[in-house]
Amino acid sequence: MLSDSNINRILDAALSKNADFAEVFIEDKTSTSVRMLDRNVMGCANTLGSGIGIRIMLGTNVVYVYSNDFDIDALTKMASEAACALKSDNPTKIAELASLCTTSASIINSDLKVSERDYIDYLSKGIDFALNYNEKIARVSSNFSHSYKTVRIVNSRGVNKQEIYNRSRASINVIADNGTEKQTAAIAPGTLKDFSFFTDYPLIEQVQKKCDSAIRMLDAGYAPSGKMPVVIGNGFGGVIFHEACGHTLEATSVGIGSSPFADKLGQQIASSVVSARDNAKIEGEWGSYETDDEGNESSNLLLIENGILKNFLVDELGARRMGCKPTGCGRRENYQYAPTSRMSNTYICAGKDKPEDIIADTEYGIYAASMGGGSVDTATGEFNFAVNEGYMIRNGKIAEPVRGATLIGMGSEVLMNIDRVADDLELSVGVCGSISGSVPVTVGQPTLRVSEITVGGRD
Amino acid sequence: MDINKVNEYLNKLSSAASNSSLDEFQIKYSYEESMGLDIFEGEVSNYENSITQLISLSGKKDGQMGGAATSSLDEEFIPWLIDKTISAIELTNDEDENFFNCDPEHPNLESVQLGGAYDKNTYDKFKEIGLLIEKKLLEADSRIVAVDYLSLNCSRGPAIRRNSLGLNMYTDEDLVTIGAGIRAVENGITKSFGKSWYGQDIDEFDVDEFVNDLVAKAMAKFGGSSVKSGTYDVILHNKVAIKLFGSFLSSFSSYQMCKDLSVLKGKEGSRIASECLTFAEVPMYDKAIFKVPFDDEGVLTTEKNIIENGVFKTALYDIKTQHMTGVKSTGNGFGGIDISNVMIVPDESVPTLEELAGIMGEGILITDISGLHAGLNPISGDFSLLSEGFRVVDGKIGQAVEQITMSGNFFEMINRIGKIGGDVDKTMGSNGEFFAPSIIIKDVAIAGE
Repeated sequence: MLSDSNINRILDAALSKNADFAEVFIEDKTSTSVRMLDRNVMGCANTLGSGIGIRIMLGTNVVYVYSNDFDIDALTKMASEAACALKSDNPTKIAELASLCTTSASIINSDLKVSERDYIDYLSKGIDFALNYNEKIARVSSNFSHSYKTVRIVNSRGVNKQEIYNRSRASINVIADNGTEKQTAAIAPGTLKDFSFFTDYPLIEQVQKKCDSAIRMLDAGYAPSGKMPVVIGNGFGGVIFHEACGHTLEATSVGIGSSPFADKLGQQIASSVVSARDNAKIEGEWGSYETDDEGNESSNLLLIENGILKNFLVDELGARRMGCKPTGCGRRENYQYAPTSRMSNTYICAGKDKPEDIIADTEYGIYAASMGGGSVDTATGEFNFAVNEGYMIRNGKIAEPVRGATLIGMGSEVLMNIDRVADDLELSVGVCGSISGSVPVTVGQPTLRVSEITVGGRD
Repeated sequence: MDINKVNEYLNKLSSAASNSSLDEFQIKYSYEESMGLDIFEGEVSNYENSITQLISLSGKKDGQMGGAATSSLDEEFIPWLIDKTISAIELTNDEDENFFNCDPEHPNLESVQLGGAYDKNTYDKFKEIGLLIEKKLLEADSRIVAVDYLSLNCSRGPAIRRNSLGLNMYTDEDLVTIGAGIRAVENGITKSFGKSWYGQDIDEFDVDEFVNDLVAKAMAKFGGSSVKSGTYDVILHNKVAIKLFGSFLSSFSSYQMCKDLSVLKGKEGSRIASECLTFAEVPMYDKAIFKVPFDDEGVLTTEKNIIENGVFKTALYDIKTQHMTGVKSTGNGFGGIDISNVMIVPDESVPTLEELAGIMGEGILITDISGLHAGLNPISGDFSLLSEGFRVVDGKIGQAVEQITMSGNFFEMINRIGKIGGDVDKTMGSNGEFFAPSIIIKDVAIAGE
């Protein structure tokens, strides 16, 4: 695609006005997806894309240009013009390029030949089960996507690294209908492992759970309104931590002082039963990587230990703003975005309680068995997230199903209000959106209880 | 863009596709150049410049359709595009046939809507305006502690669509967008607020109007509190009305109805909303920045009432559902069924928000909602959304309200519209703008304390 000498030409042009750092990010990606509605294949698409992003920095000022035209003269001109926005009197010497170092958190068995037909056959197993399971399952929409992406990061400090991602995700969405109401529930497993991950995945068991959930929610009453204890189930329940805390620990907001936790390092920000990590090093996990999109090694970062804030998620620009080292969390959706600090696999660590004991010790409240997504205002810490499958807790027992609940609050308050943490940590995959685009992330947590949170129901 | 190089490539791809086993095919080429910068603490903190292109081939064989795309104009990828398109078709078994389209009376379609001001959008100009916005924001009120983001962007670029039926479509547009968000602190309480502007000519941007509105709305958020959970009459402020209606538009798609994925199935011709609601698609609306004379399938668009005085007049159709249902395409084929320029028709007898509040008397004005991607079910209509706004007491807009949720079912809610306002605002969507005034809704579930 681009030779080392041409990359050096671009770096030279990028530093021609004496910025202090230049970086070239080259991406090459092939992707395949199939989309089904019930048993019909509605579409199948292949995309071949590549592009280059050039970043130039002077202090905390950044210029970013990108293109998918690899003509070296055009790229050099683009870099030269971009350089004009960052001028200084102190020349920066470009370090000699290191030998190319290739890393990957993906687990790929090259002997395993998989085609679109295998994706269709796999989805069909889940679809057939769902449509035959209960007459109330009216429709099943599904898709399978696979991408193989290579990114190369070369910078003026001599970094010359390449990361390979082999990423697959299946999603099956069941729609239950009782003639007057429609309710949906979905599974969406994803991985950096090869196709054997899906053949090992308990597909039928998980689809059955979602069918049961959608059918149950058809007849569920509406959740109550007001402040009450909420027990949040494990796995995707971790979206609460992702939204309520994770985003506000990113240098994107900490570095400009907008995070409510910006000056809280070493202080208690959560109850003492809460410890949390951002671990990009879990091999084969959806949100993992070995080398981040800035060429730094990924990390297994302790964010909170027994309620005390231990670390922030810091990218190169954040490190310049905050006067510290990057933690290997610079990520971007693709070459069209400059990188910024992002989460990877972020979870609340397992505690010592048993999930059943937490329920038994809750007189009245909501059990949020399955969570939807949410969002947060990183300046205020105000968050919201949706409960997809909820139940009332009455007298220490899970009672009738309820729907239509949204949990809202302030991140700093909800973290302090977590009073019970179980031992059943589970991770669940998702996609997170921020200023550097949408990146794959894993959220996770054990079953936990928030002693008081506002439930936005209807009754 | 080197149009000669692009045409040469498209001709070669077209020729190769004609000689393949495809029955029909369509080629799309899109090109975009963009420039933008961010201002932070008196400096250009980030400057971006880009050029991107994408070539996609869609093919049809034995009634099935498939496609492939690449970002490279390199001829060596032409066989790859064709092979992948054919292999995609061979895997597809859509029970409903897909169609390309070309209206023999309008095979050549062109819509070039360039403001003519794109070249004004220089780095220096954006920097000057950006620094001025930041300065004015920081000087506007001592409680404003930071401008957390301030971005100015512009983009332009043509799209070309050609198919083997003879369609030859060319579109080109340009746009400037400006967005800013401030953070303010009073007595240890932090509030944030953001605002955006879009247009085709940067010289039409009024810095003072933008700054004053942003600051006023941010400062009004102080002193807020929750309310007791209960049922309230609410005013959905115009931007909120757009967000909420926009989230349920898929239910108006004829395809969703055919697939039994819309609660509006079978309700065309029936009353589905309060009589005061008229929801219209106005593709050539004179106040819209971009007119939409035809859809992506080459069908000429038409003005129509989707809901007229509460009655569901027509669903939205494209060429595929035209063949599925026998109802002519309404010109809503935008790569799936979608809308162009639409509006909730305002009641001009109530020109201001304050007058609408006066009509409501008691209740809550909802000025923002969050969590749309998770807190609503676009099929069932159920929603529960983090909301904020102001109390309305004795017909006057008063103290701020925060940390509440607004819940309900959209399709039930549009039957409880008390009054449509006249204070129209707009938001840019994928294929056009959405215009709406503020709206009174009766008996809405609010969760708070």
